[in-house]
Amino acid sequence: MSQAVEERHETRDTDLGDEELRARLSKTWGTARGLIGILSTVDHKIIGIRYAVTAFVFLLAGGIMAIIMRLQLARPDSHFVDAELYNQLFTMHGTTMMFLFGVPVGEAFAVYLLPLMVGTRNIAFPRLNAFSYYVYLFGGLMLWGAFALSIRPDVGWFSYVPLANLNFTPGKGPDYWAQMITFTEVAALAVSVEIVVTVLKQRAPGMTLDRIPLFVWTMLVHSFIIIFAMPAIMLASSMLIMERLVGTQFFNPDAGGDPLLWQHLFWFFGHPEVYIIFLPGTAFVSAIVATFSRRPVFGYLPMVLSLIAIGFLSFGLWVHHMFVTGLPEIGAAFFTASSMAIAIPNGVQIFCWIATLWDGKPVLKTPLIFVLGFFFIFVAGGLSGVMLASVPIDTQVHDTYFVVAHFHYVLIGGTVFPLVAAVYYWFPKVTGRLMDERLGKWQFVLAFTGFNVTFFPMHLLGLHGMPRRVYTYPAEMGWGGLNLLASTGALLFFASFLLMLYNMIASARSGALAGDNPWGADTLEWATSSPPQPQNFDRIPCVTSGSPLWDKGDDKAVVGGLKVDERELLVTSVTEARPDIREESPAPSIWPFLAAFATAVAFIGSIYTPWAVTWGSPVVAIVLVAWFWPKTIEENV
Amino acid sequence: MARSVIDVSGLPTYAFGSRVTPWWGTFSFCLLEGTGFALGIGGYLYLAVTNKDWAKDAVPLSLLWSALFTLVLVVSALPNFLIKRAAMRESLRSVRLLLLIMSAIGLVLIGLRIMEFSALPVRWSDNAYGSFVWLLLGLHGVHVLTDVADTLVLAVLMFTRHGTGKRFSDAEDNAFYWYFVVLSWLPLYAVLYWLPRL
Amino acid sequence: MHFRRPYETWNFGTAACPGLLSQLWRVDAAKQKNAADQAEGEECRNVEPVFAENPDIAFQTHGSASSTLYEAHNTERDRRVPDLVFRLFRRASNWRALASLPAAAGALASGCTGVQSALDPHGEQADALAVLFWIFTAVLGLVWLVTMAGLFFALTRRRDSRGEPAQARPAVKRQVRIAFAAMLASTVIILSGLTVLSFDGQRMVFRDEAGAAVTISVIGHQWWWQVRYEGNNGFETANEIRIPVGSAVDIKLTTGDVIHSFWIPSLAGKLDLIPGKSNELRIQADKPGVYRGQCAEFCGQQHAHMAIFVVALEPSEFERWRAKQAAPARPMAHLTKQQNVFASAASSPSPALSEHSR
Repeated sequence: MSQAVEERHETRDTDLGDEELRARLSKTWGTARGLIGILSTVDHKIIGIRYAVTAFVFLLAGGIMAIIMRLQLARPDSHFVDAELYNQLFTMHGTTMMFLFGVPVGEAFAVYLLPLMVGTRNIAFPRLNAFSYYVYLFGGLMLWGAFALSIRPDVGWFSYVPLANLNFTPGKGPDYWAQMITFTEVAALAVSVEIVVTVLKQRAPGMTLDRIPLFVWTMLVHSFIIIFAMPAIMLASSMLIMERLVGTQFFNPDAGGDPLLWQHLFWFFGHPEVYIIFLPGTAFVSAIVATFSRRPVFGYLPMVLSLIAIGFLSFGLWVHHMFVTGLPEIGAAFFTASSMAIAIPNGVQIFCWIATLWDGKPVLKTPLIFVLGFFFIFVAGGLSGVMLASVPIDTQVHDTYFVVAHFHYVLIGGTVFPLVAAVYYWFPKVTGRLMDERLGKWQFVLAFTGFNVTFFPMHLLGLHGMPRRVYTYPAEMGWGGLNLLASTGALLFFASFLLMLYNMIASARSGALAGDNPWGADTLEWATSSPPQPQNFDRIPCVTSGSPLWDKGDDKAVVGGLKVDERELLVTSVTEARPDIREESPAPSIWPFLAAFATAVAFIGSIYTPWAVTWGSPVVAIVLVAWFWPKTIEENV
Repeated sequence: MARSVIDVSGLPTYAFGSRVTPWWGTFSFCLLEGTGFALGIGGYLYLAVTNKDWAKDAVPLSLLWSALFTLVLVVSALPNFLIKRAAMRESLRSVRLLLLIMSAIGLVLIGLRIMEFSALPVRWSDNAYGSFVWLLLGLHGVHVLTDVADTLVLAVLMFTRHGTGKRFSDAEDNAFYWYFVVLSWLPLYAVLYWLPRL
Repeated sequence: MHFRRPYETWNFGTAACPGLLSQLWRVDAAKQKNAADQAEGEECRNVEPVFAENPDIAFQTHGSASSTLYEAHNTERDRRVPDLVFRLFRRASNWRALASLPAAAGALASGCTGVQSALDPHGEQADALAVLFWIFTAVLGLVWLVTMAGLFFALTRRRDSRGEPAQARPAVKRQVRIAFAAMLASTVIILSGLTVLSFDGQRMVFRDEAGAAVTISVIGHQWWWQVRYEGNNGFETANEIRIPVGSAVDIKLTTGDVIHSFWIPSLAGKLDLIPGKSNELRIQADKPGVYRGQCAEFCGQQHAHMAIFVVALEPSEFERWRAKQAAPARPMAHLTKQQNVFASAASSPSPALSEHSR
């Protein structure tokens, strides 16, 4: 290679001692100060934290919506909020929790942790990563900004047509909803592509496919699910907005369309969506169970195969959301069977985790305690899901509070409890300080009690005939007592998050110093400092097992020969992770921010006139050209 | 502490095909966009099967412009293949020439697509069939448009001082994506233009 | 018509919670009357063209309409139902009643909740579904208990004292492997069993047989139910279906506007009403009584108030009622008013309505 000869003059990491190397690399990979610097950063850790903080703000907002709804439902015939506001609230609650919290929060952790776990210096396509964050942020701000301006979607997070059509829902609410979907899906798709490429091509040398941490496998499957599921909702939301703005007829049965087409497209995305939200939860559980059992998770191969099976099966279930639309019997039977079948890989995972705890020595710290809460709640939710898979049972409980109970057991039990565990677990890595254990345990008591008191009664309410999405109910229905109980629990559950917020803020200021690896964990993110330097690793580690930090022996091989003064990272082969290319990683740039801004303006404009797309596209195109235009010529000279 | 070092200083800074990250990025985007096309076709077929008035609505589309479009698109696979080869040989002259040819072909294709739209016998607001025809044709049109824009930018880039090294990898990547644009059109062409004639 | 005539009385003696049933029905009838009056007063349907021209103004109109509606219906209800049972129920749901929650929960769980409960079945289909539900609950509850027991055992197991237990991929112990195989096998067996049971229950939902004694069309509207008795002497009611006890009744479900879902939990599972599609549901009541149901698919602002009652009558009584309905109506001031409302409310005025008001 001709350029290899010339590049000898450059400083390589092998030329420097540890101290100087760290300082020089941290300068090369650092983020500039000032507003432009902040908006230009491409550091996956900074963007990951922004993702997480934004998602938690939306969690809080969605939680407040839930509390207002619970206050309204606490008593029968209540007038705390009226029908109109209530419908807006549950729409915003569902939309926020699914699109602005559930999906992004999993990606936040992946964006922050994956490059560390696979031992690389930045995520693949870091500018796309920055772009995706801004698009997500603008999408969320747009929806909530419109809400503040009283432009409020009120047709549910599922926006069934024809209710969401212009003639039944005038106003701009559903248009903002549909565009917000497009925003967040663009963001999610971009992040998924980054994750797939990071995992496949940027692993540290020696991290062969069978040495990838389960967390990473899980997020890889999660990303593939997004890649195949999200196009459905983007297509659907675009069709909806076209139906509303330019008068297409996709869903109009009088003009050859079909309202069920919306449901098929929506749920083709909507069911995988459940796994998109749930899989990060299992990723957290795998990491935490291993660390606190002092054992690698039992059954690596069955675990990975289960994940892949879940990925495939999640696309074969969508019709179970449509069991009461009057399907042909054979179709219903197929989707019952497939919905039952997905319980098998989930069961395998549960078994493997319990077997790990059985074999190891569980250390009952807050993260593990929340994971135990996960078992208790998620298994119950999964089993009520088996009931919903049965068409005959579903005809009774579909669209009732039984379903509300079920999916909160699955989503809160399956994702939020592991998420809280993950916050306690990785907080010391991100901030360098441990969170308070005593407050953590109190938080668990509050959260666990509050959750079950809120959602268990909802099973009974559903069976006793209470449908979803009703803003009130007559006192004579006899639902008042259980609803009051549920509302009380909701307050407790909400309080547990306030306690966590307090714990996070207090611990970030004055928590105990953590050190590199406070839990004695086995994956690579714990091999670097807490918080990690901008370059993640001073020297890229080589991996010889599935639990690199638990390996015995002193000889920890590292990579040498990467440039120090340029952003260079190591690209390896897909299966064997053999070093292959020293690829340049893009430097900070303001253009992703500007591109996201231009995209946002075009999208918001398109809510009011389709011409905004026509005028906005050239602007976006110009910004994109500026983004990709090379800034230096030295790279190849 | 004893520490062994794997020396990577001799590795190249770029390569071609599936060895580099952009290839995997493009591949992932092809997957997700392909899913979008598949779902679009799926929606079209769903209505064609469930709606009893579909046969009445589905007026056959004019074959002239679409046939020209398809022909030019398929033929463009040849210069596209040559770009890929020239880029991997890092032959600046050939890549420049071929990118200009591909840009010209792309502009012709955009013109043909516009003619295709103007010859459509249905409007998007007439019925669901019309909506789907416009949607699918538009969706693919956007792909043609973006890749032609990408080709134009790349062509300009190759005539500047940046036309070296990693840019060849980019040109190869661009050619890879064009295959996707070509391949994704074929099922759409069959469904939109020939299915209603069966 | 759709609300109860004061001079008619029914015998509800055999239903689960008779007092409550009759009260609730009466309450709801009053509510529906008000909703209907409101619909007329505000001319909801006539607002639609205005929506298209100026959405903002129309929205305000809509909002104020709903708040008046609620004040109106509450006063009306309080005036019309000063019943002891009703007051008791109101009190039971007061904030102060927190202490009596366990009792309330117990009452619910026991199944005597009255009218709108999947666990209080009074029809062939609902019976089968409830049985299936309890089988699933028992089996899956057991699975949950076994899993939790396994978890508890895993956490509390006495461990031999080992110094540094962490090690990469320890050899899999034989007992764990056996447990894994047993878990997998039992999961597959249990799920297969439940799937077979579900398929069996599914026949109840999908069966397609002739021989219904009565066929009724139900057309969903925002936010009321139009009920049309088919046949030569067809007639219509609203928000109320009367059926003969012990006979199969076919209900054809269509919608005049958005998607709704027809659900009478005590009689059968739910089925959607979808534009451009006609669904069919068979119900059958074993005992005379009033069975409440409500729309189960979110259908817009007043979704919560889209209730319907099925009144199951002894066959002879049903026939008497049907004959009376089919006969030309006597002129009654409030009835005519109602019909006007629904004639203007329905997207296409039905021939049956005009025939009936003739």
